[in-house]
Amino acid sequence: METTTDTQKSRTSNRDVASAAKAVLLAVGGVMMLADIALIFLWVPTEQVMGVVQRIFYFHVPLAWTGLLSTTVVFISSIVYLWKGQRRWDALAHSSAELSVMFITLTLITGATWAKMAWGVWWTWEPRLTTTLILWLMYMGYLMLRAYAPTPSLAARYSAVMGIIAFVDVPIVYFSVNWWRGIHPRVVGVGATSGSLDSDMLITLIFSVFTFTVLFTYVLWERVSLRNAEDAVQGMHITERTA
Amino acid sequence: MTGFLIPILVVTWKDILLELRTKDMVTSIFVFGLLTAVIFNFAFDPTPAVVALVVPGIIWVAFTFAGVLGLNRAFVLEKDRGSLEGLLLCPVSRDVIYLGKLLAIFLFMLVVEAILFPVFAVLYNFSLADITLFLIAVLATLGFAGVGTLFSAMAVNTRSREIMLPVLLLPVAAPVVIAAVAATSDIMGGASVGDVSRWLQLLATFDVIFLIVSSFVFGAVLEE
Amino acid sequence: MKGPVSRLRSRLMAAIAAATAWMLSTGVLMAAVAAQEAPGESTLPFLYVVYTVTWATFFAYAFYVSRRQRELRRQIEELRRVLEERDK
Repeated sequence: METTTDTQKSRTSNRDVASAAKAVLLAVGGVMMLADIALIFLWVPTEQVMGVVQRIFYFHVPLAWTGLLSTTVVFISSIVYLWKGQRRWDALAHSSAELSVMFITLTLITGATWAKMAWGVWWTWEPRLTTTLILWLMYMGYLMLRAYAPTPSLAARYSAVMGIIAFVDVPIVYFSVNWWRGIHPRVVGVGATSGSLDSDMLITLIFSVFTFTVLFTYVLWERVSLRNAEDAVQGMHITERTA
Repeated sequence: MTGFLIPILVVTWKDILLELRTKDMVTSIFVFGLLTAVIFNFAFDPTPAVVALVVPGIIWVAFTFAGVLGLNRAFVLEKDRGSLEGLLLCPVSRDVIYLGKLLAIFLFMLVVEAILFPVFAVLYNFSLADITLFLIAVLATLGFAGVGTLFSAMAVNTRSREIMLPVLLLPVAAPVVIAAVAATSDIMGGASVGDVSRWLQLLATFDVIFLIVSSFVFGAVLEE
Repeated sequence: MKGPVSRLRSRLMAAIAAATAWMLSTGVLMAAVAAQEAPGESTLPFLYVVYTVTWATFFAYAFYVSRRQRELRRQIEELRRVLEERDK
């Protein structure tokens, strides 16, 4: 009986530590978000060529970066899940895939807004936008696969396969689209202003990237905890019904 | 080496025998490929200039959609008759099953392309003289079938299997379509093998990478 | 326990407060930026869209996760009650 209480106690204290850590992360993320907004709108100088609207850059690039980070997490956790078979790795892959779709959607929206402003059209089949769209389709496929799989374990395994294949494919897609669309002038690429970046702009950009990464980590953590908790309750429901 | 090769060929032969009896995959790919090419002709005015521009795209879009249809049939027999379990009971590793199945599907697709390519050449009046076209077809089909076999095995078990396969396959196989169209277009425009070498390298790279990755993960797909 | 109507009212008030805070802060930020704008057609709407859509999506997702967490807690309470009933 002593050992049970001890395990229960350590489990509760672990949970408390996790909750506290999550709260800290949220607080840090919140502060960084406010600071980031201040930097983007009140501090960083206006870019000469494109004017005020160039500030979209400080949203678009971090969103794209976080999206890529998210897909990397899906990739790694998919591999580990197939290797070890532990549900929590599937939880991580699943949660990260949801966030991937969210971030890639935002990347597309901000990218299209940029395109409208810079080139006058909402969409162009330029390499980075096209690759991002294909990326979006792949991870939507991941989520669809989870939804349409007959059992949760098949959903986990199949989507792990997709998570691996999709990630491996990304560089190949990028190269093929790049070559297809011919020599793409980097100057016109999203992110390039009139050459190198002003140091204030670089600082803002990097801080933005950090901010979004922190926020991503927090939301991912909450989502994974939710998934793990739901799995546990699911198990309890089954035990309760069969008891 | 032969210990690895022979089981693969046995699996392939089983599929070939099945196909010879049912003619399931080959007919669907052929008919749908032909239909697509015919419908495309209504999409534009077939003057020589326009045709030269559009034909490579038509060819590979037709093969892509037809290929998806064919792949949809690839595991249906196994699934409906439960023969997959029988296959799993054989003392062979999962990648052998994958490679055997892949080889069969690859051959079926090539057979259909061998028939359809001349038909398209007649319909759209272009020359098949360059042997590079054959090389493009082989590499592209191998890549397409490589990931297609894997996704087909997954899709057949899902609720909306006819939708699931293209949703998964088409974005992943996009580089194959891009490379095939670009290379075909260049060749038809008079380029030499050397000019399209980077596209051929891209196709070959895609093929190797995904053959290896799929071989590794196929086992996870087959388990109940 | 708050009744459903008063819960709805407090949620509505919170939503209105959040929306007002949002609009005020956005207004301040956009005004600050507008001061630096070159004359001619304003490109500010684009920036506003990006800003709003990004944070709206973030908060919507966070809200979605927290709502499911609340539902989960409700389920756990229910399970606990069932177990207690059975133990009696």
